[in-house]
Amino acid sequence: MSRPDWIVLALTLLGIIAYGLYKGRTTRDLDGYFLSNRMVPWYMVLLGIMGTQASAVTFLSAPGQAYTDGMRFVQYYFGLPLAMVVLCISFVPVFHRLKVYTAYEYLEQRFDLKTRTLTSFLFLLQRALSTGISISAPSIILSSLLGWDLFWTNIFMGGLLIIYTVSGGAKAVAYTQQLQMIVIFAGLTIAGFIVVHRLPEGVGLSEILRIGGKAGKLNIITTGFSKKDGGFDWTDRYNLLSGVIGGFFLALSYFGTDQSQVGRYLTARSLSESRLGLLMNGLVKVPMQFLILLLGVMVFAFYQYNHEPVFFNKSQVDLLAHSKYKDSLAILTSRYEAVESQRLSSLRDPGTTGWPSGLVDPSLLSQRNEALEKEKAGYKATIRRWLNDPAVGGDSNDTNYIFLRFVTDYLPKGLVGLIIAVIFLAAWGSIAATLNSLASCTIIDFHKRYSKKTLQPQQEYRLSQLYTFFWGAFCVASALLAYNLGNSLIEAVNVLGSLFYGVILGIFLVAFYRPKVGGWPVFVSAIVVEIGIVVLNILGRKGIVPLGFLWFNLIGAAGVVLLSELLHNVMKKKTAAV
Amino acid sequence: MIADNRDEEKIPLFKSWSSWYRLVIGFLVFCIGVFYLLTKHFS
Repeated sequence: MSRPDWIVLALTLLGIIAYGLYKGRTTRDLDGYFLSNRMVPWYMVLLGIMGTQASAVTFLSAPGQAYTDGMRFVQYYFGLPLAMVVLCISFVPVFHRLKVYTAYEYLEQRFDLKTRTLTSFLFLLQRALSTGISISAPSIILSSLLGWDLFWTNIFMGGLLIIYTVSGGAKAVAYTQQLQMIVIFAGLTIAGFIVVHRLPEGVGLSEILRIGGKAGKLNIITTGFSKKDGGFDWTDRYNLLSGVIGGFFLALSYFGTDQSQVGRYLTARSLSESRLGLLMNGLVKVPMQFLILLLGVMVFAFYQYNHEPVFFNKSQVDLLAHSKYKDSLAILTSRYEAVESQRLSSLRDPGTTGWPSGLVDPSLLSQRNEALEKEKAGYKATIRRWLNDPAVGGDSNDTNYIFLRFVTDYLPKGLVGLIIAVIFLAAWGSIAATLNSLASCTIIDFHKRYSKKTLQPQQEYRLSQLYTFFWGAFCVASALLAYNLGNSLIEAVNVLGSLFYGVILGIFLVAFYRPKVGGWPVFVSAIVVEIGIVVLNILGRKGIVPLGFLWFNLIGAAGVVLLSELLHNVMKKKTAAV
Repeated sequence: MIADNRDEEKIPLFKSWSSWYRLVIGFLVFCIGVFYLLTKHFS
């Protein structure tokens, strides 16, 4: 990175910390620390919800995912608006009426202490683990692409935000998220304009869509039904059905029962402000995600007219260059470069008609140059095969590096620093909200509930700060341990969430919609179904039960509802018999 | 389900929250429709 980039990055990050410290002043009690004295307006609730959900990997992985797999990932968000409606009707009014600090407090009033403790524990377990990934994922990418030390990148990614999160609690989180989202949107919009600006003259948005469409990147809606036998592919992760149904249960669980989200809309001035924030999220989320994915298609179109690297993760190519494959790599690279030059020169073939400035429609070229494209794909596959060799121990997935490689190679000085700052801020917004929620659950659901000692508001405030610091340190430490998950990082976070979210949602669904079912049936069902989901995931990974992870949310929720209903009826019959 | 008429505060823009819910669901259907047309047109 150049000096202007460093200056922009440092100023942005320091500015956010200073803003968080300045705006985070609040009353020194739990209400001030965890709920911002319930004074937050709807637009800050909206930005808080969005900032909490959109982690750094959202902005790193999504464009890369569109580049490699197309835009069908947007379907994952189709269930979200429906979930926002259900939340506004049933969950949010109850939380507001009971004036709870955490969602799990309600479960003690509805069931019993053990169900509340179990649910809060599942949340703490899941969130603490996934936050480690949320820190390590962007750190690995930045350190690998920019040559930064991984230890210090992890410390900066997960450590600096602790300063304002510990100091100002939910209020600091809300105000910084507001500013962070503005910087993120501005950074991505500028990046999008630069991609289009750097394309050859006459190639605009409609041409980008044509190029993407011809290459299969505009597969926005997919049904999941196989073209061969017409059957539904249950292993297909992103399609209309899994997006609407699985995505609905995932979003309902995430926004309705995950304290990192519940804690955002509990800070609202009123029930109306909470509802408005959530409904606005339901309106803007799908188009926003569409635009982020479109950025990936834009980058894809850009590389049709420019030199495409054989592998986007430079550090892995360097790894091969120092392995037993170094000679083979040199030969492969020179052959790949020859193919790329041939492909790029054919783009300006004056004999071909159709596009402005003497350019050829690259989508037609890819058909004409089928042999070249096949050769390129073969070289890329070889690189991946070498990286998968245990003797090399590399990472063969470069999806998360595509967008950032474009940024570092082609964006002007200063803007590279801004995009790197966007990645940091996206991570900070999400992690800060999580630390705040982990601390609130620890003190409200465990410390205050199980400790016999009565504390003064000032002492509770101090203790909350200590817990926030503890969770911050824990997440940074687990980030240092998490490395090379092998799959797309955004998916790793989502898969982990889906293992727990369904069960937690099931408990809340029983609480809201099955008023006669008591604590014991739901407690036993939750444990049994959670074990079942973990077993299903293991069997799925071994190929015995092929199932996309989004379905775990539906299975978990439905499993808890049905099993607790069954147990309730069995217990009722036994009691009647006695 | 808990009825949403418990909230006695002023509802922005519309007369009831049900109109907001219809707007959100309607907009989702609209988005899916546009995406379907884009997929068909550019495939």
